[in-house]
Amino acid sequence: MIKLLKPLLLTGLLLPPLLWSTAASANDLMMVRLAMKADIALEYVKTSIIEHEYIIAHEQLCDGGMTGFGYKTDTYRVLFFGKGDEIRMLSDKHPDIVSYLPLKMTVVAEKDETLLSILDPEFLAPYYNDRDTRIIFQRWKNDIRSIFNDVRRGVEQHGKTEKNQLVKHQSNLSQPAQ
Amino acid sequence: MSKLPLILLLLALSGHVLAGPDGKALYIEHCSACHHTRGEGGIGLPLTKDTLSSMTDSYLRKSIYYGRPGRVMPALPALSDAQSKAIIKYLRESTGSKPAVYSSHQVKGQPGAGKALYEEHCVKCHAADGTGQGAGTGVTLSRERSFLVMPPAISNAGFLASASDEMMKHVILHGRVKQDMPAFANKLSDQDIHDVIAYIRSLNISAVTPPPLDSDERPTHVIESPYDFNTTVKNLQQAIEGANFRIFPPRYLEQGLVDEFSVNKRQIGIRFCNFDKLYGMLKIEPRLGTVLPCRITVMELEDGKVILVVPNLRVIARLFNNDELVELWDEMEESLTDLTDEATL
Repeated sequence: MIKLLKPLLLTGLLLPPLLWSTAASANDLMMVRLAMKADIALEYVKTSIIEHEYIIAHEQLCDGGMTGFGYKTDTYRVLFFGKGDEIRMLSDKHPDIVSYLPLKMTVVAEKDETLLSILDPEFLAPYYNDRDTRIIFQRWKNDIRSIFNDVRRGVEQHGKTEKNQLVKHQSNLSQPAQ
Repeated sequence: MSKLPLILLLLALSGHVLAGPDGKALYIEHCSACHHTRGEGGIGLPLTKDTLSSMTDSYLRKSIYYGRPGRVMPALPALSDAQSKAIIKYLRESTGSKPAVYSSHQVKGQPGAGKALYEEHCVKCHAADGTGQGAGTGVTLSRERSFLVMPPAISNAGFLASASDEMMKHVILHGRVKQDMPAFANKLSDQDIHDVIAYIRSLNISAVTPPPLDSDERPTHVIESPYDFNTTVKNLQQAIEGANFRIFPPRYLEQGLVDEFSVNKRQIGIRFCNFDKLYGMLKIEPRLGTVLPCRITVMELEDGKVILVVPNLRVIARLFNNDELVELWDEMEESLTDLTDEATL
């Protein structure tokens, strides 16, 4: 009975979220706001990108460049990441896609918070319509969502830990000296 | 007895389906980056109890649907009605706000009379053309901005399609004190307010968003070079330096992604920047890093043909829905065309 029900159960549990997530993919820029300072958030993002089996090819220090030219700016970084075999396959198949490769994620400080943004890979789908390419775009999008979720969870956990430490510290301070 | 698991399963499935879209998750995905995680605003208007209590659910639903053309907030027609409602329900529940109710009555006013009142009371924040202000939309909080909250673009077609006359009247009468909008109940008569609304409606400025793309428009421009790979790279670098851009060390497309011996050295990105322009643009739109810095990729294809690949800024411009960038995109497009022309002349 369970064997028979298993596919039904999986379909029932997975299909509705899949339908909703497909219907909700209207933004061409994917963004997430994190309640965490950019320097720490950046480390969470890098870790999650690597955990999703991407390689960070390059970190562009836009803030450093602008400061060097006399402009006042907070943290502004761009992470370039991808998978070598996918980038090679795409540039061989569609040489004109290279301007959008590898993936680029901006990490921007907004006071004590951080804004992450990245081009939705599916934005390119109408221009490169073959099945293999579309599958890659879909996978990238799912991975970016997963990276955003990972980082958001990490930030929440970090916030809870900090709060607990603060409570513990305050309670230690309120103890009478021995 | 054997049907019990099936019945339980069906009940579980129906519960799952009936649960509907997750408003909080949708809000986080689509709204929180601008309206903030807890709704206190930033790039977008604060969605606090105070603000939401003056808005009808219909206004919120239409705002999600139409967005604000040319002013960062995208239209989200792909969201289903159930999804929009779920976002609104989440906002209502998380803030404890109740939807405002207004009559659908359209006020009768004289735009001519309203113009003088608008210029006296509203222009300071909402600007002469009702576009909000002149200092930029989407200004990052990490840099200076003129107002704590971006004043709404009340002449925006998306706003005017969403807001009823009676809702606008309510806001003018009671203000949004926490966002520095004063109440005009003691300063303006009912007729004055009707005149102002009639004037605002007459503004109805359509976004100056870039014209529609050609049906065969591609996300990049490909220019064939008459020169060999090395000469093309050299020509391009000279052209970039000659145009007073800051040039960065070139990077191979695969650099850092595969081992250094396997890197295809016939695919190279020539990267450059004008920091003055970059700073100005980031002040308007902090997300531009997703498409900057400027990069022209030179590639030698299998058949020996050498091409330059340049991003099509007419396509990219659409991603940001920001009218203030339109002129800058045109300027950049012209610069990129000049550079590739010079390199391949």
